[in-house]
Amino acid sequence: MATQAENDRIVLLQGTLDLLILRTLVFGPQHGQGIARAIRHSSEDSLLVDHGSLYPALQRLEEQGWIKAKWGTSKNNRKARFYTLTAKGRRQLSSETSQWRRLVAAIGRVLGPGEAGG
Amino acid sequence: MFWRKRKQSDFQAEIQSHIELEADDLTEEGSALAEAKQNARREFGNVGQAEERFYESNRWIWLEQLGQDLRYGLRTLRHNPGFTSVAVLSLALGIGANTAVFSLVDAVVLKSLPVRAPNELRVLQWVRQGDDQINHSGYNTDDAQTGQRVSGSFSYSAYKMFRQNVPQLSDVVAYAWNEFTVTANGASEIAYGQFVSGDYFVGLGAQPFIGRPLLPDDDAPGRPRAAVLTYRYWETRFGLDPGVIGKEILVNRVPVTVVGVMQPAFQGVYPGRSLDFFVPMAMDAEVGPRWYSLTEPDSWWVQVFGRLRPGASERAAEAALQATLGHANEAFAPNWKTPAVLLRPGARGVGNLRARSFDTLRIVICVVALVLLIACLNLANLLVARSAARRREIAVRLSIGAGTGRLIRQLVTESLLLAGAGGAVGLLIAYPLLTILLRLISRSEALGIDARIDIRALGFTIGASLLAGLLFGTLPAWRATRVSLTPALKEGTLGATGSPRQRLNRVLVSAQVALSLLLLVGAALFLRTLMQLSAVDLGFQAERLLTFGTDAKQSGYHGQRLIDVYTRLERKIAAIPGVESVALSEEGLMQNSESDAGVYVPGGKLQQNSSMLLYCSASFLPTMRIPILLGRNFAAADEHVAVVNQRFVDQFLSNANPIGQQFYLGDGKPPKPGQEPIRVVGVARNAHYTGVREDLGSIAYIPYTSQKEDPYHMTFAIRTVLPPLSIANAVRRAVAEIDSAIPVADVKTEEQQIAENIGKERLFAGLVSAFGVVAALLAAIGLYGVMAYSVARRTVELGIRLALGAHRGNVQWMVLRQSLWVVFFGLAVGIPAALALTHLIEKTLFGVKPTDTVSFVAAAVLMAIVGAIAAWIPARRASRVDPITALRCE
Repeated sequence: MATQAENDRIVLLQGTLDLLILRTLVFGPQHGQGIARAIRHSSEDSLLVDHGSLYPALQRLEEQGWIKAKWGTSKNNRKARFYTLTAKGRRQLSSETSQWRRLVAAIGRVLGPGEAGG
Repeated sequence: MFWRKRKQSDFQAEIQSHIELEADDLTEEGSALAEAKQNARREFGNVGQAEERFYESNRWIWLEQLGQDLRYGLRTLRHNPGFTSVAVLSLALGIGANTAVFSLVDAVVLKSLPVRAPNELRVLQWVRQGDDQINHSGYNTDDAQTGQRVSGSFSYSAYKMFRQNVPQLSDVVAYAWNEFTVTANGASEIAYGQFVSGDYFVGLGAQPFIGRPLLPDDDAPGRPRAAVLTYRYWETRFGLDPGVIGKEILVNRVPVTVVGVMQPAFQGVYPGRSLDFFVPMAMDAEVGPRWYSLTEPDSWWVQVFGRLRPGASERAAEAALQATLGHANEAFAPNWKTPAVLLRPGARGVGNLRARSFDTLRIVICVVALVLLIACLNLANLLVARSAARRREIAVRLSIGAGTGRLIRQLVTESLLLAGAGGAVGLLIAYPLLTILLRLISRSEALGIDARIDIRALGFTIGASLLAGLLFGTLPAWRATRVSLTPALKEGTLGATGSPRQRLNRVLVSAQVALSLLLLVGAALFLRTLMQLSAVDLGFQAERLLTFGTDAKQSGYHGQRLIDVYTRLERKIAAIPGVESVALSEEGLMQNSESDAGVYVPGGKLQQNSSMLLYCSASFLPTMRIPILLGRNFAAADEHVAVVNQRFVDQFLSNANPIGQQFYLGDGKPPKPGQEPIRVVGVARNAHYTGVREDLGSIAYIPYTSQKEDPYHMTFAIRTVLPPLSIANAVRRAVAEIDSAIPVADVKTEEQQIAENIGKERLFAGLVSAFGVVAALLAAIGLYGVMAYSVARRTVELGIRLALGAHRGNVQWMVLRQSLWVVFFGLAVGIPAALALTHLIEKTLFGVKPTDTVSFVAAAVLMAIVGAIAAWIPARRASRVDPITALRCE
């Protein structure tokens, strides 16, 4: 883990972790560690999921009925708890995604051009 | 959701698996295994913290906190045994009383019949405007307002046609009541039975307890005669002996084999009326009364039930029924307008008795509900006072970070604990209470109800306890947590008197006083009613009279033989040592039953009206000690004579000498040719006939031997010189010696009969007084608690007053005055409320107006005295405060 990368990491806004988890699960069932890795990879190491937040978030999503969980076996033969997106979760994802896009666009407009690259 | 929560261990396994997976990935990326594992663990961060977060987010914590609350609550309650026992006992009384009454109401009014698909059941009734020419028996009521006659009786032939011509109904079954003489185990008794159609049990889907039910095969002429018993009859008459199956009993002297016993809960389709056994309809030909005809279309006597087929229209069924009834009537009354046939819901059985008992029960329900309400108020009051005492504890807990929600939950948990304990103890006392209630009620009515503390009653108790707990717990809990911390923590015993907390206490006590007053006024009114009733001059002497009922007709005696056997019985009983004389009458006195007939008096003041009749023996008036004021008593051999009472003379006869005046009995119209008049030979003093509460009416006493028809049944009244019940067995033996098939029923003294006659009033007087006293005591406890607490808080102030020279008497009066204001406010609300409500019980009162001043004053004075005593103790304590001690302790 390069120190450089750690400095570039972004602290996740409250609530965005849920969105990311849901998005990750679109590609199929995944266990907690897999989700954390996937988020890190697809954000090209800029988002590092704090595991202390990951599991409570998974717990929360499960309670909302957006994901469901089942114990299974990973591809290298380890027992793991796999999370799957439910239909309800899929709907939630699409509504949250569009909300997020609107929010980002709005904030972008407020901040104005030029600053965004920083 | 709540129960599907994950276990802590499951979560630990998930974290473990995460770390292993991460290590795998890292190894793949090239780290050495040991290093990879360490990295993975570091990567994950603080395992313990993650676990803790998981634990917090989990709802198991809720359960664990509940456990904490319960433990804490139990500890608190255990440390205040006085408070706890008063609270639990008062609640137990309220909840127990309500549970007992609920079981009763449930059995009489709410429960569905224990049969298959009770909601499909429909009762057939017909409705007609005004008079009808049909000779029908059964339950009919004339609606006084609409003039409609409603009846459930049909002819047997119409019933058979209903079965075939109404496709909307399935399982059309019929039954009819009758009184029978049953001889079994060597003794004869009167029993209530029903003729039922063959498919009655199969159609209803009622199951036998042992043996088999009656089946369609049994209901045909020439089949072996079979009977099915109710569980109650099996219990009372055969001592639950399973050997009863296959046993032969005599029903009206005809041998019948017992084939089964029904389930305890099944009491026929007319709950509330006692029922002993069932026999097939076909047996009516042999043992039924003359007017129960299986063939005559103008004899309407069977009650009909059916199931509405799923999806069938009720209207269409009614139309089909009416058309069928029209066809059935054509045969005998072509010009008669067919009455409208109605289907009524039958899930809870038939019967006006349900509605009638409910009127009685309604008063009881109100009383017990009031008691529970008072108990709740009392508890709310105690809790408010206690939460004031716990202010400091609560303030400390709030200031070290306890959440308000958590605290409220803690306090409500304590209340629910109390309520739960109250409910549990209440359930214990509900059982004896129900037994007492049933005994009290069955004194005035023969009840065949299956009332018990069952699962439904248990559900009711739990519900009532929860409701009570929330009712008295929530408000005090909410108030308790609204403490402003600094003053509460700093506060000593010196407090302001008029704080809102104390005001709430006083309002609660006043409300208790008001509600208790309602009960006390009710108690006073019922007690006065009872006093008035016992003061009624019945006109005959009820002491030392033994009575029993019988009917030799059902044992095979008719016409002159019937009169002969009654005469022999009379002589035989009169010869028993200790018997002074024996009287026979068709109706017994004080039994709420009477014979009436139309009277036509040529040349009388009032020529035609109806009068009460009493067919009796010549010995009746002397035995009852009803004096003859004028003329003479009739003799045993007299025909066409009567002794009439003073009311009869006043109402009917002309002003000339009543002796020798004549009247005609019948429909109240001028006599038919050849009809013999009845001659008045004597005038008797007015005496009561049907009951204590009756308005004296006109009565004609007529020799029973001169009646054209056989007497319906016969009541023997025996005047004794010994205590009446001591000769009961000698009487039974005497009857059995003449003919053991003649039943001896309802052996009791006339005084018992009178007590039964006013049973309802006695029930109310007893119940309302008992609960009224309890309510007043609870209010007194509430008042005492509030005043004692207030005095304790004001010790310093009182000490200063005394130190400055206040008289002890003044101090005492000051405290007393406050309490009396609380009582006064309660009365000021309670008296108008009682005035507004007592008219609801007007029908049950006797000789007392619902606004009776004496009752109101007595209740208010009693309440004030109880209140004053409760307040006097803290007031005395206040006046005994030692100023020096009081000032030092601050």
